[in-house]
Amino acid sequence: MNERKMLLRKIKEYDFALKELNLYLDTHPDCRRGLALFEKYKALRQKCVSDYTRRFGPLMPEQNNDTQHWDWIDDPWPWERR
Amino acid sequence: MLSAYNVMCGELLHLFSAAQKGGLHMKLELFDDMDGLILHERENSLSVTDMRSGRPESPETSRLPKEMPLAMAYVPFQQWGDVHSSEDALESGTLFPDLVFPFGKGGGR
Repeated sequence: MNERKMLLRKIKEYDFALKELNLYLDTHPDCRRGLALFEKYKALRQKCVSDYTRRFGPLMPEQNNDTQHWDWIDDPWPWERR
Repeated sequence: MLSAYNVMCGELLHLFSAAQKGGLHMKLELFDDMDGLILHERENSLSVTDMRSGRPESPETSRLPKEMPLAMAYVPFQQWGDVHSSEDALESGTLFPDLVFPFGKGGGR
């Protein structure tokens, strides 16, 4: 697995863990262990997403960072990557 | 949530049957404050008040309500336990090992 795919995989894992904790906290809103784990995965995800966008471009249009150029349309497109 | 939901529904069914037995007009005033009734019922059954009082985490909400009238269905309230790593969570479909139920063909586990 190349580095880009590994980062995407990590983001996917953290997203899932966050969704699971989201559902858990909906019914256990004062569980400190749940809240702590949510914060942990939130930070890990943020780090992965910023690593990814810095090196491989935006995952979502609002992550466009350049004031001179719209990098959302830059090559390669997802289906052109391997 | 499921637990609260079932207790709420159980309570509503109970009220409905009581209303039918005693004549429809008898219990209808209870429905005027349905939100309050539901909240009250939920707090009673789940001990939510204990959780919000700022005391240490134990004793946490119990798995099942203290009062469980007959002929109602209850879902145990989830307790915090072990958690999978994020890798294993994605593989097994849940972050919580307690919720892994690999139901097999023919009712086996």
